[in-house]
Amino acid sequence: MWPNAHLTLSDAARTLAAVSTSVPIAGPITATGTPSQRNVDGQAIAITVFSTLKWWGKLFLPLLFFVAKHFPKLTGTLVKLSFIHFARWSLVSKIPYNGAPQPKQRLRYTHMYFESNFNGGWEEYIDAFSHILTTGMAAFWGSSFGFPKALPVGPFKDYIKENEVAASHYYSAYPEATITMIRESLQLDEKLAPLKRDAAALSPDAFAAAYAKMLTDAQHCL
Amino acid sequence: MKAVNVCGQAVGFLALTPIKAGEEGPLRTYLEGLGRSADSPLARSARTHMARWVIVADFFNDPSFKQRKEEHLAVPWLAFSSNADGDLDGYLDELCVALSDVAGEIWGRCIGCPEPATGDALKAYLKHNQIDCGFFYAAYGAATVAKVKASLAQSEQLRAFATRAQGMAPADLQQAFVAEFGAVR
Repeated sequence: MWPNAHLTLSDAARTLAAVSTSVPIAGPITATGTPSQRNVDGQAIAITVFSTLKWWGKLFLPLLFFVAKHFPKLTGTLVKLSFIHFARWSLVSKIPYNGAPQPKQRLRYTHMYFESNFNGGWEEYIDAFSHILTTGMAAFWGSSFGFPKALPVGPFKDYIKENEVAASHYYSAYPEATITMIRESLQLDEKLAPLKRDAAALSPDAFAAAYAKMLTDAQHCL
Repeated sequence: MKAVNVCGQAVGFLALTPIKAGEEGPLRTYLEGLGRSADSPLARSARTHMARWVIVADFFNDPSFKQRKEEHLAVPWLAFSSNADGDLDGYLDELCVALSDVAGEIWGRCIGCPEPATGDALKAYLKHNQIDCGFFYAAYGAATVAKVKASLAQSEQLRAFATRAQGMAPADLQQAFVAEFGAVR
Protein backbone atom coordinates (compact mmCIF):
# COMPACT_ATOMS: atom_id res chain seq x y z
CA MET A 1 0.00 0.00 0.00
CA TRP A 2 2.85 2.35 0.79
CA PRO A 3 5.40 1.95 -1.96
CA ASN A 4 9.03 2.39 -0.98
CA ALA A 5 8.03 2.99 2.60
CA HIS A 6 11.22 1.35 3.84
CA LEU A 7 13.13 4.64 3.30
CA THR A 8 16.59 3.48 2.53
CA LEU A 9 17.97 6.85 1.58
CA SER A 10 21.46 5.60 2.15
CA ASP A 11 20.95 2.95 -0.53
CA ALA A 12 21.55 5.68 -3.02
CA ALA A 13 24.83 6.69 -1.47
CA ARG A 14 26.71 4.24 -3.61
CA THR A 15 25.72 6.21 -6.65
CA LEU A 16 26.69 9.49 -5.07
CA ALA A 17 30.28 9.57 -6.20
CA ALA A 18 29.40 9.00 -9.81
CA VAL A 19 26.65 11.55 -9.92
CA SER A 20 28.14 14.18 -7.65
CA THR A 21 30.93 14.82 -10.09
CA SER A 22 28.36 16.18 -12.49
CA VAL A 23 26.73 18.41 -9.89
CA PRO A 24 28.25 21.84 -9.78
CA ILE A 25 28.71 22.99 -6.22
CA ALA A 26 28.68 26.58 -7.25
CA GLY A 27 28.09 28.42 -10.44
CA PRO A 28 25.65 30.43 -12.43
CA ILE A 29 21.98 29.73 -12.40
CA THR A 30 21.34 27.38 -15.24
CA ALA A 31 17.67 26.74 -14.74
CA THR A 32 15.71 26.41 -17.91
CA GLY A 33 12.43 25.91 -16.08
CA THR A 34 10.31 28.36 -14.19
CA PRO A 35 12.58 29.58 -11.40
CA SER A 36 12.48 33.30 -11.13
CA GLN A 37 15.42 35.48 -10.18
CA ARG A 38 13.34 36.26 -7.08
CA ASN A 39 14.24 32.74 -5.97
CA VAL A 40 17.92 33.56 -6.07
CA ASP A 41 20.24 35.47 -3.75
CA GLY A 42 23.83 35.15 -4.88
CA GLN A 43 24.68 31.45 -4.85
CA ALA A 44 21.60 30.55 -2.83
CA ILE A 45 18.46 29.37 -4.57
CA ALA A 46 15.02 28.83 -3.08
CA ILE A 47 12.56 26.19 -4.13
CA THR A 48 9.08 26.03 -2.66
CA VAL A 49 6.67 23.26 -3.58
CA PHE A 50 3.12 22.54 -2.42
CA SER A 51 1.63 19.15 -3.13
CA THR A 52 -1.68 17.58 -2.22
CA LEU A 53 -1.61 14.28 -0.33
CA LYS A 54 -3.56 11.11 -0.82
CA TRP A 55 -5.41 9.94 2.28
CA TRP A 56 -2.63 7.70 3.47
CA GLY A 57 0.02 10.38 3.23
CA LYS A 58 -1.16 12.12 6.39
CA LEU A 59 -0.65 8.84 8.25
CA PHE A 60 2.53 7.70 6.60
CA LEU A 61 4.51 10.95 6.42
CA PRO A 62 4.54 11.68 10.17
CA LEU A 63 6.05 8.22 10.66
CA LEU A 64 8.57 8.91 7.94
CA PHE A 65 9.49 12.26 9.48
CA PHE A 66 9.89 10.63 12.89
CA VAL A 67 12.19 7.96 11.51
CA ALA A 68 14.19 10.48 9.50
CA LYS A 69 14.60 12.69 12.57
CA HIS A 70 15.59 9.94 15.00
CA PHE A 71 17.70 7.75 12.73
CA PRO A 72 20.01 10.25 11.04
CA LYS A 73 21.95 7.52 9.25
CA LEU A 74 18.92 7.00 7.05
CA THR A 75 19.20 10.56 5.83
CA GLY A 76 22.97 10.47 5.49
CA THR A 77 22.70 11.01 1.78
CA LEU A 78 21.15 14.43 2.40
CA VAL A 79 24.30 15.35 4.28
CA LYS A 80 26.49 14.04 1.49
CA LEU A 81 24.55 16.11 -1.02
CA SER A 82 26.78 19.06 -0.40
CA PHE A 83 24.54 21.65 -1.98
CA ILE A 84 21.59 21.83 0.43
CA HIS A 85 21.83 24.47 3.16
CA PHE A 86 18.40 23.95 4.72
CA ALA A 87 15.36 21.89 3.75
CA ARG A 88 12.05 21.14 5.34
CA TRP A 89 8.82 19.29 4.84
CA SER A 90 5.66 20.43 6.66
CA LEU A 91 2.14 19.07 6.57
CA VAL A 92 -0.77 21.50 6.35
CA SER A 93 -4.04 19.93 7.38
CA LYS A 94 -5.65 22.90 9.13
CA ILE A 95 -5.64 26.58 8.31
CA PRO A 96 -5.12 28.85 11.32
CA TYR A 97 -8.16 31.06 11.77
CA ASN A 98 -7.70 34.76 12.36
CA GLY A 99 -11.32 35.87 12.57
CA ALA A 100 -13.47 37.71 10.03
CA PRO A 101 -13.17 38.48 7.19
CA GLN A 102 -11.14 35.26 6.81
CA PRO A 103 -13.56 32.61 5.64
CA LYS A 104 -13.47 29.47 7.74
CA GLN A 105 -12.15 26.72 5.56
CA ARG A 106 -11.88 23.06 6.38
CA LEU A 107 -9.37 21.39 4.12
CA ARG A 108 -10.51 18.25 2.38
CA TYR A 109 -6.93 17.11 1.84
CA THR A 110 -3.69 17.43 3.73
CA HIS A 111 -1.09 19.40 1.79
CA MET A 112 2.68 19.20 1.99
CA TYR A 113 4.91 22.24 2.00
CA PHE A 114 8.48 21.57 0.88
CA GLU A 115 11.26 24.10 0.74
CA SER A 116 14.92 23.88 0.03
CA ASN A 117 17.75 26.38 0.13
CA PHE A 118 20.52 25.16 -2.11
CA ASN A 119 23.35 26.27 -4.35
CA GLY A 120 24.09 25.26 -7.90
CA GLY A 121 21.46 25.20 -10.61
CA TRP A 122 17.79 24.26 -10.52
CA GLU A 123 18.14 21.58 -13.20
CA GLU A 124 21.21 20.06 -11.56
CA TYR A 125 19.50 20.13 -8.18
CA ILE A 126 16.49 18.18 -9.43
CA ASP A 127 18.77 15.81 -11.38
CA ALA A 128 20.78 15.05 -8.26
CA PHE A 129 17.71 14.63 -6.11
CA SER A 130 16.24 12.21 -8.62
CA HIS A 131 19.33 10.13 -9.20
CA ILE A 132 20.75 10.06 -5.70
CA LEU A 133 17.64 10.16 -3.54
CA THR A 134 15.45 8.04 -5.77
CA THR A 135 14.08 5.92 -2.96
CA GLY A 136 13.84 8.77 -0.51
CA MET A 137 11.98 10.89 -3.04
CA ALA A 138 9.43 8.14 -3.46
CA ALA A 139 9.06 7.99 0.29
CA PHE A 140 8.60 11.75 0.71
CA TRP A 141 6.44 12.41 -2.37
CA GLY A 142 4.94 9.00 -3.12
CA SER A 143 1.74 9.94 -1.31
CA SER A 144 1.34 13.19 -3.27
CA PHE A 145 -1.19 13.29 -6.08
CA GLY A 146 0.51 13.32 -9.45
CA PHE A 147 3.98 12.28 -8.27
CA PRO A 148 5.41 10.52 -11.32
CA LYS A 149 8.34 8.76 -9.56
CA ALA A 150 11.76 10.35 -9.34
CA LEU A 151 13.03 8.61 -12.45
CA PRO A 152 12.93 9.25 -15.32
CA VAL A 153 13.74 12.78 -14.36
CA GLY A 154 11.85 14.59 -17.14
CA PRO A 155 8.33 13.96 -15.82
CA PHE A 156 9.54 14.63 -12.31
CA LYS A 157 10.89 18.03 -13.32
CA ASP A 158 7.58 18.82 -14.98
CA TYR A 159 5.81 17.85 -11.76
CA ILE A 160 8.01 20.11 -9.64
CA LYS A 161 7.61 23.00 -12.08
CA GLU A 162 3.83 22.61 -11.96
CA ASN A 163 3.72 22.54 -8.17
CA GLU A 164 6.44 25.10 -7.47
CA VAL A 165 5.58 28.55 -6.16
CA ALA A 166 8.09 31.30 -6.83
CA ALA A 167 9.28 33.39 -3.91
CA SER A 168 8.44 37.07 -3.99
CA HIS A 169 11.47 37.81 -1.84
CA TYR A 170 14.37 35.57 -0.89
CA TYR A 171 17.26 36.35 1.42
CA SER A 172 20.54 34.72 2.34
CA ALA A 173 22.81 36.12 5.06
CA TYR A 174 25.89 34.95 3.15
CA PRO A 175 24.79 34.94 -0.48
CA GLU A 176 28.19 34.29 -2.03
CA ALA A 177 28.93 31.18 0.03
CA THR A 178 28.27 27.63 -1.09
CA ILE A 179 27.77 24.75 1.35
CA THR A 180 31.24 23.51 0.53
CA MET A 181 32.77 26.88 1.31
CA ILE A 182 30.92 27.04 4.61
CA ARG A 183 31.80 23.52 5.69
CA GLU A 184 35.44 24.04 4.79
CA SER A 185 35.56 27.34 6.63
CA LEU A 186 34.09 25.77 9.74
CA GLN A 187 36.61 22.92 9.52
CA LEU A 188 39.42 25.39 9.03
CA ASP A 189 38.30 27.30 12.10
CA GLU A 190 38.66 24.12 14.18
CA LYS A 191 42.10 23.38 12.78
CA LEU A 192 43.29 26.94 13.21
CA ALA A 193 42.04 27.40 16.77
CA PRO A 194 44.88 25.56 18.60
CA LEU A 195 47.53 27.49 16.70
CA LYS A 196 45.81 30.80 17.40
CA ARG A 197 45.69 29.87 21.08
CA ASP A 198 49.31 28.69 21.35
CA ALA A 199 51.15 30.80 18.78
CA ALA A 200 52.57 33.40 21.11
CA ALA A 201 53.83 30.79 23.57
CA LEU A 202 55.84 28.74 21.09
CA SER A 203 59.45 29.25 20.07
CA PRO A 204 59.79 30.64 16.53
CA ASP A 205 60.97 27.29 15.14
CA ALA A 206 58.24 25.35 16.94
CA PHE A 207 55.69 27.87 15.67
CA ALA A 208 56.96 27.57 12.09
CA ALA A 209 56.65 23.78 12.29
CA ALA A 210 53.15 23.98 13.78
CA TYR A 211 52.10 26.52 11.17
CA ALA A 212 53.37 24.33 8.33
CA LYS A 213 51.55 21.31 9.78
CA MET A 214 48.34 23.30 10.13
CA LEU A 215 48.52 24.41 6.50
CA THR A 216 49.16 20.84 5.39
CA ASP A 217 46.29 19.48 7.48
CA ALA A 218 43.95 22.24 6.34
CA GLN A 219 44.97 22.48 2.72
CA HIS A 220 41.68 20.97 1.55
CA CYS A 221 39.90 23.78 3.38
CA LEU A 222 41.85 26.57 1.73
CA MET B 1 10.19 25.13 21.21
CA LYS B 2 9.14 21.91 19.51
CA ALA B 3 11.93 19.50 18.57
CA VAL B 4 10.46 19.02 15.11
CA ASN B 5 11.42 22.61 14.28
CA VAL B 6 15.01 22.21 15.42
CA CYS B 7 18.17 20.82 13.85
CA GLY B 8 21.26 21.40 15.96
CA GLN B 9 20.90 24.96 17.20
CA ALA B 10 19.01 26.00 14.07
CA VAL B 11 15.28 26.51 14.06
CA GLY B 12 12.87 26.40 11.15
CA PHE B 13 9.89 28.72 11.23
CA LEU B 14 6.95 28.81 8.85
CA ALA B 15 3.84 30.98 9.11
CA LEU B 16 0.93 30.98 6.67
CA THR B 17 -1.20 34.10 6.91
CA PRO B 18 -4.38 34.88 4.93
CA ILE B 19 -4.08 37.84 2.59
CA LYS B 20 -6.83 40.47 2.64
CA ALA B 21 -9.09 40.77 -0.38
CA GLY B 22 -7.53 42.93 -3.06
CA GLU B 23 -4.11 43.01 -1.41
CA GLU B 24 -2.43 40.10 -3.19
CA GLY B 25 -1.18 42.20 -6.10
CA PRO B 26 0.05 45.17 -4.04
CA LEU B 27 1.73 42.79 -1.58
CA ARG B 28 3.49 40.98 -4.39
CA THR B 29 4.65 44.28 -5.86
CA TYR B 30 5.92 45.44 -2.49
CA LEU B 31 7.82 42.22 -1.74
CA GLU B 32 9.36 42.10 -5.18
CA GLY B 33 10.53 45.66 -4.77
CA LEU B 34 12.43 45.05 -1.54
CA GLY B 35 16.20 45.39 -1.60
CA ARG B 36 18.22 42.25 -2.08
CA SER B 37 21.00 40.64 -0.04
CA ALA B 38 22.49 43.19 2.36
CA ASP B 39 19.75 45.66 1.42
CA SER B 40 16.99 43.24 2.33
CA PRO B 41 15.10 44.13 5.50
CA LEU B 42 15.88 40.59 6.64
CA ALA B 43 19.56 41.56 6.76
CA ARG B 44 18.69 43.54 9.90
CA SER B 45 17.89 40.27 11.61
CA ALA B 46 21.31 38.96 12.65
CA ARG B 47 19.99 35.48 13.38
CA THR B 48 18.39 34.81 9.99
CA HIS B 49 20.39 32.45 7.78
CA MET B 50 17.93 32.24 4.90
CA ALA B 51 14.32 33.30 4.60
CA ARG B 52 11.60 33.89 2.04
CA TRP B 53 8.15 35.32 1.49
CA VAL B 54 6.02 33.36 -0.93
CA ILE B 55 2.49 34.20 -2.06
CA VAL B 56 0.43 31.06 -2.50
CA ALA B 57 -2.49 32.04 -4.71
CA ASP B 58 -4.09 28.61 -4.74
CA PHE B 59 -3.41 24.91 -4.62
CA PHE B 60 -2.42 23.32 -7.88
CA ASN B 61 -5.11 21.08 -9.31
CA ASP B 62 -4.39 18.95 -12.35
CA PRO B 63 -7.11 16.61 -13.63
CA SER B 64 -4.45 14.14 -14.72
CA PHE B 65 -3.43 13.72 -11.07
CA LYS B 66 -6.65 11.76 -10.48
CA GLN B 67 -7.40 13.72 -7.35
CA ARG B 68 -11.03 12.91 -6.56
CA LYS B 69 -12.04 16.51 -5.92
CA GLU B 70 -10.25 19.75 -6.57
CA GLU B 71 -9.31 21.88 -3.61
CA HIS B 72 -8.89 25.64 -3.70
CA LEU B 73 -7.79 28.16 -1.14
CA ALA B 74 -10.58 30.43 0.04
CA VAL B 75 -8.09 33.29 0.22
CA PRO B 76 -4.46 33.46 -0.93
CA TRP B 77 -1.77 32.87 1.67
CA LEU B 78 1.41 34.64 2.48
CA ALA B 79 4.03 32.08 3.51
CA PHE B 80 6.94 33.37 5.53
CA SER B 81 9.66 30.85 6.11
CA SER B 82 12.91 31.35 7.95
CA ASN B 83 15.92 29.26 8.87
CA ALA B 84 17.40 30.90 11.91
CA ASP B 85 19.46 30.64 15.05
CA GLY B 86 17.35 29.29 17.93
CA ASP B 87 15.57 29.78 20.29
CA LEU B 88 12.41 30.58 18.39
CA ASP B 89 10.92 33.02 20.91
CA GLY B 90 14.11 35.04 21.11
CA TYR B 91 14.43 35.00 17.36
CA LEU B 92 10.88 36.23 16.79
CA ASP B 93 11.37 38.94 19.41
CA GLU B 94 14.31 40.26 17.42
CA LEU B 95 12.71 39.73 14.05
CA CYS B 96 9.54 41.60 14.95
CA VAL B 97 11.58 44.61 16.00
CA ALA B 98 13.98 44.39 13.05
CA LEU B 99 11.10 44.37 10.57
CA SER B 100 9.05 47.07 12.27
CA ASP B 101 9.30 49.49 9.36
CA VAL B 102 8.19 46.97 6.74
CA ALA B 103 5.94 44.57 8.67
CA GLY B 104 2.90 46.81 8.22
CA GLU B 105 3.36 46.75 4.46
CA ILE B 106 3.74 42.96 4.52
CA TRP B 107 1.68 41.30 7.24
CA GLY B 108 -0.45 44.42 7.51
CA ARG B 109 -2.00 43.24 4.24
CA CYS B 110 -3.00 40.00 5.94
CA ILE B 111 -6.19 39.32 7.88
CA GLY B 112 -5.80 39.56 11.63
CA CYS B 113 -2.45 41.31 11.68
CA PRO B 114 -2.16 43.68 14.65
CA GLU B 115 -1.74 47.41 14.21
CA PRO B 116 0.94 48.50 14.53
CA ALA B 117 2.59 45.36 13.16
CA THR B 118 5.50 45.13 15.54
CA GLY B 119 6.74 43.70 18.82
CA ASP B 120 4.88 41.21 20.95
CA ALA B 121 1.62 41.60 19.04
CA LEU B 122 3.24 40.73 15.73
CA LYS B 123 5.12 37.84 17.32
CA ALA B 124 1.87 36.45 18.74
CA TYR B 125 0.24 36.78 15.32
CA LEU B 126 3.08 34.93 13.59
CA LYS B 127 3.08 32.18 16.21
CA HIS B 128 -0.69 31.80 15.91
CA ASN B 129 -0.21 31.13 12.20
CA GLN B 130 2.85 28.91 12.59
CA ILE B 131 2.96 25.56 10.83
CA ASP B 132 5.31 23.07 12.43
CA CYS B 133 7.99 21.35 10.43
CA GLY B 134 7.53 17.66 9.78
CA PHE B 135 11.19 17.19 9.04
CA PHE B 136 13.79 19.94 9.16
CA TYR B 137 17.32 19.59 7.84
CA ALA B 138 20.23 21.98 8.34
CA ALA B 139 23.59 21.19 6.75
CA TYR B 140 25.53 23.09 9.42
CA GLY B 141 22.96 23.29 12.16
CA ALA B 142 25.55 23.82 14.88
CA ALA B 143 26.81 27.07 13.38
CA THR B 144 25.12 30.41 13.97
CA VAL B 145 24.95 33.12 11.32
CA ALA B 146 27.73 34.98 13.12
CA LYS B 147 29.88 31.84 13.23
CA VAL B 148 29.38 31.15 9.53
CA LYS B 149 30.23 34.71 8.55
CA ALA B 150 33.27 34.84 10.82
CA SER B 151 34.56 31.50 9.54
CA LEU B 152 34.18 32.55 5.93
CA ALA B 153 36.01 35.81 6.61
CA GLN B 154 38.74 34.03 8.52
CA SER B 155 39.30 31.61 5.64
CA GLU B 156 39.82 34.55 3.31
CA GLN B 157 42.14 36.12 5.83
CA LEU B 158 44.23 32.97 6.19
CA ARG B 159 44.49 32.50 2.43
CA ALA B 160 45.80 36.03 2.05
CA PHE B 161 48.15 35.60 4.99
CA ALA B 162 49.55 32.30 3.74
CA THR B 163 50.36 33.91 0.40
CA ARG B 164 51.92 36.93 1.99
CA ALA B 165 53.91 34.92 4.54
CA GLN B 166 55.66 32.63 2.09
CA GLY B 167 59.41 32.66 2.68
CA MET B 168 59.27 34.50 5.99
CA ALA B 169 61.81 33.60 8.66
CA PRO B 170 60.24 31.74 11.63
CA ALA B 171 60.41 34.69 14.02
CA ASP B 172 58.89 37.07 11.47
CA LEU B 173 56.26 34.51 10.56
CA GLN B 174 55.26 34.06 14.17
CA GLN B 175 55.10 37.77 14.81
CA ALA B 176 53.02 38.35 11.70
CA PHE B 177 50.67 35.47 12.55
CA VAL B 178 50.12 36.63 16.11
CA ALA B 179 49.51 40.16 14.89
CA GLU B 180 46.95 38.85 12.40
CA PHE B 181 45.18 36.13 14.37
CA GLY B 182 45.97 36.55 18.05
CA ALA B 183 47.38 38.70 20.81
CA VAL B 184 51.14 38.97 21.27
CA ARG B 185 52.29 37.49 24.56
